[in-house]
Amino acid sequence: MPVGMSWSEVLTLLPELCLLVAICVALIAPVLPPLRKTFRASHGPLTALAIIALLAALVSAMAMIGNWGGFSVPGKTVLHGMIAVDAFALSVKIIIYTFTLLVIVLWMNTTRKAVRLTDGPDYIALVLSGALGMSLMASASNFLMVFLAIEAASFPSYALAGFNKQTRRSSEASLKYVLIGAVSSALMIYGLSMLYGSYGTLDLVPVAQRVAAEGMSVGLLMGVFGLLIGIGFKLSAVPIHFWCPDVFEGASIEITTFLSVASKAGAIALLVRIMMTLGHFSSGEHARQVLLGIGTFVGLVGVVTATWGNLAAYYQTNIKRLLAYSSIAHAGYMIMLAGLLTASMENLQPTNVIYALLFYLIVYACMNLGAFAVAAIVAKETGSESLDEFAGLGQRNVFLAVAMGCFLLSLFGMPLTGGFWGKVRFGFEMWNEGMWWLVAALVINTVFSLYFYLKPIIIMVWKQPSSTSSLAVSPAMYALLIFALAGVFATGLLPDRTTAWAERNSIMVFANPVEPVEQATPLADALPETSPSIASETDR
Amino acid sequence: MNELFVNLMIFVPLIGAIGCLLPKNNPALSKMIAMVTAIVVLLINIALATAFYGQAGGHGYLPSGGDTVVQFITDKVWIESVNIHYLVGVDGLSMPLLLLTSILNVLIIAAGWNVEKHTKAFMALYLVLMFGMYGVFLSLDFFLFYVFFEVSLLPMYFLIGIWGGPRKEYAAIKFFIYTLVGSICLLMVMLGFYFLVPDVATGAAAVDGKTSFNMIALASDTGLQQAFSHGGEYWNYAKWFFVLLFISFAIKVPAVPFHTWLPDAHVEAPTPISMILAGVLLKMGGYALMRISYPIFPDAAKWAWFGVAMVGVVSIVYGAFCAMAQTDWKKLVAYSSVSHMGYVILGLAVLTEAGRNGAYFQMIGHGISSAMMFFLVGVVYERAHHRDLNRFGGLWNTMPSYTGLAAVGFFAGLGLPLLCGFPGEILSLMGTFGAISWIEAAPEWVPFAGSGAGVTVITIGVFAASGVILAAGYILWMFQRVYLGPAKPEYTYSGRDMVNTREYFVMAVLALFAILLGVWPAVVLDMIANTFNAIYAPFTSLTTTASAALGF
Repeated sequence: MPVGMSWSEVLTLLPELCLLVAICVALIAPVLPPLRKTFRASHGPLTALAIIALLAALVSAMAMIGNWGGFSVPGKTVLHGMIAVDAFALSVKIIIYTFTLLVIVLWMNTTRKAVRLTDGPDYIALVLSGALGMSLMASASNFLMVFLAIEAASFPSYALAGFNKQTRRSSEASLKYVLIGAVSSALMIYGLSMLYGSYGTLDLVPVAQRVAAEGMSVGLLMGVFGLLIGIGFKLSAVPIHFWCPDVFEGASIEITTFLSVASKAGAIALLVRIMMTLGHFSSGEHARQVLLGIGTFVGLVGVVTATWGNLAAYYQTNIKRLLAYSSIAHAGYMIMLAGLLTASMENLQPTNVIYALLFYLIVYACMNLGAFAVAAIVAKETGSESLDEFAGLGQRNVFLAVAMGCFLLSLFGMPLTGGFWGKVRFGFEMWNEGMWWLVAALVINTVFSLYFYLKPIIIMVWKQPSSTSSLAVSPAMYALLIFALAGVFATGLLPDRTTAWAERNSIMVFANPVEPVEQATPLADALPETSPSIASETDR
Repeated sequence: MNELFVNLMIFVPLIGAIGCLLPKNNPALSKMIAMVTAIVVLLINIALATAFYGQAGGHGYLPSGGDTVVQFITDKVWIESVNIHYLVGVDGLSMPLLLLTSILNVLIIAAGWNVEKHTKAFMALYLVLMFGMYGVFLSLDFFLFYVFFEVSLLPMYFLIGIWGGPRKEYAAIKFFIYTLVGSICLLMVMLGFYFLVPDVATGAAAVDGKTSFNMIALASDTGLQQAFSHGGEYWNYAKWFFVLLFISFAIKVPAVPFHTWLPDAHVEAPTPISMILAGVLLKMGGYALMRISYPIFPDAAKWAWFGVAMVGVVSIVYGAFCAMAQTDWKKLVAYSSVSHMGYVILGLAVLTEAGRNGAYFQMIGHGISSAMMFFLVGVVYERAHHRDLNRFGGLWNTMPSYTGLAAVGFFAGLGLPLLCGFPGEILSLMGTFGAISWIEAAPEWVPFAGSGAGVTVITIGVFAASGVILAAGYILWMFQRVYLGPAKPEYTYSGRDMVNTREYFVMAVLALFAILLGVWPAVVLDMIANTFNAIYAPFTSLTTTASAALGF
């Protein structure tokens, strides 16, 4: 059958297309002779371009999810099963796009104007292509696509990490990031090739079906191993988290913010999709054992990651490193939750797990954005990212200090903030599944984390500042902080609306892009038939 | 109208806190706003108490009873997805503590009138603390209770940490972490309720298959109570939950071995904050045990009686010995708090009516006497700038009127008859001895049940009673060292340094209440009687009054 794409399929990729167009424009327009002057003179057109592209992507994703004007019905796989467009993927994309938009606002307010003018086009193009890769991660439903999406998200990130060209640290961070990224990509590719070797397909659904029917195989083991390395790298899971503190420290703050939330959102969405698909088709004793093993392993990785992150954060004296370890810990919590998806299906309502995760992502985005934004303001003012620079912030600018306190306490999980409900939801789902050790790990980790989240607060309130002049903040940054605060408290005081949104959008499709595979495919005829019967059977 | 009053008690302090922050460079105005807020809340509280105890159908100042004794309920859905309600109301269990809180608030703001450092922030944080305290005592939804429990934590952390003494940061963070570990135990129990309750609930404990966190419903739902009872479906859970809740509240009380945060917090905290900490915040632990642990898990309470009683006795004796060893005056008072709060735990543990009444009365009595003791220490500390007991002496000669009031305060703490410390301790001890009757008759899964019960109970009782003697020891020894003996010239104050009217006012009001509660303990006991009868109905079958057990 000819490989064809219908217009309706293309339309479902509209958000990504919007970004793609903007990336091309950002790269080409500034070098076109007639436009060069405009772009050199001001960064206005460029940021406008980025913002418009992101808004367009956002609106089209929202239109699809809300089915505005019969625009599109979410819930199918397109491009021969490569990409799943469903409510879950779209809502993760909405989070990513909104966040990228705010990161650009942050960039406009924390970076020096000269830098913005000279490097603006590259920067915008890189951030947008990062966002593109991340949103593909949320949608990938074929292992090849998984690899491509991870790489598409990683390459711009490598460049962005080294974007502070003048500082050694930034280059060091970038190099470290590239090296670890390359190793993990290689391992992932290796695992995936083994997977392909034994199953003869790279599509998620047939693999899951075969696993359900046949149970464990070497290919599956290697494939899962490789995938976990690849996704774990993006999520900064222990033991491949070493890049994270260094990159976060070396990169400029808005990049750190971007990597800590958008990149992790995409990666966790990918992990959840894979786990969910595996779990969904599980039936029979074979599959039970295998999946329980995988789920337990993933849960364990999450526990180790969270514990490591929380303990390592104790000794940090740099705010970005501290928040980096905090984000490792939070990634750990999310990985723990993802482990539930295949651990045991007795009581599990997978949609509940997914909406707990969506809710958490929203809260996490708000509080991390806020914390990094305050850090950026302080760093810009004082020229240093040491925790000591927060000394006496309470006297220099009460609003900043109070806001930072709220974000940190929300990260910790204080009641009345969104972080609390996020963790409580996680606890609910873990308990419901009978995974006691996960609940215990979550609780113990929360207690661990208290001290280092209080540390900046202690410094803000008690340490005497070196300068007592009040710290001025631009209106745009105030707006950004208020937005983040509103997010933290809206999800904390009245979580019902967000919960309802997340619940509505926790639907995931599992479409089988090829004919049911014959049993025991020998390696030789393992080429997948690109079947046209794109069955958009939503068998949920 | 009364429903509105209940809500106002919670939210007026919050409005007051915002009001305190508004005036610029005018600390006096902030102080006035705080004081007015406290007085308004006190008036609302008095109106509420009058309405509560004076209802038609009631007799005297007892509420009318009926199937529920909780009154003036506001019930709004707060978070629908987990069925959490904003559910507030008052009953006999909360009313005396509310009155105590309201009275102390006025006095403590008066006591903090001379705070010079960041006055505005101090008053605002104090009012936020008030918001948390009233919330804890008024909320009837478990989750709401938990939220307020945590909300009261944060302002306290800053109040100790900013206005405290030299090691304030250490003390503040220790306080925070200890209490937070307790909160997390509480959260685990709630998590358990969320999943376990709907399966067995037959009554109001579950709504549409979702747990209702209504504490009254949880305690009165027959299906749930059946499951939590000995041999029931959730018996093992019930034991775990009881222990977790106990740890959580014992940290707050605080009972040995969870008490080590208290001396640090007290020593570092400024005087008004020590007063509220000892006067009200410790009572949250006792109140929560009475409100949550015992009514919801009656059988687990029987199972745990010995362990809980031991915690109580050890707190009493160990706290007293620690107090005796101190040379820091404030630390002495802090350890005496540990010792005295032990009677609350002991009185509850033994599951007798007298014990419960004693425990409750002890909370109110200790609320008055400890607040007064800390203020008495504070008055001298502000002038002498040290608290070393061995350096004082002869204050009786130089500050006679102050010493007279100090005698009332410290003797109330000692447990002298006719002062507020006495009835609570004696009732708690009577209840302990009275427990012989039910423990002898108890089924054998109750620890130390059977014919040997007498020895166990009497041993516990004797040790607990020794706490009274030890208290006399450390208080009198302290009194001797500080107030008696020849006058020392460095403690002679004149002019501006004399004890002023504001301080006399605070001390006099507290002394008045110390005497009032001592000579007329029934005023508190009658307030709680009906509620206790209703919420401790599961225990009434096994309790006889202490007097009957002792034969008088």
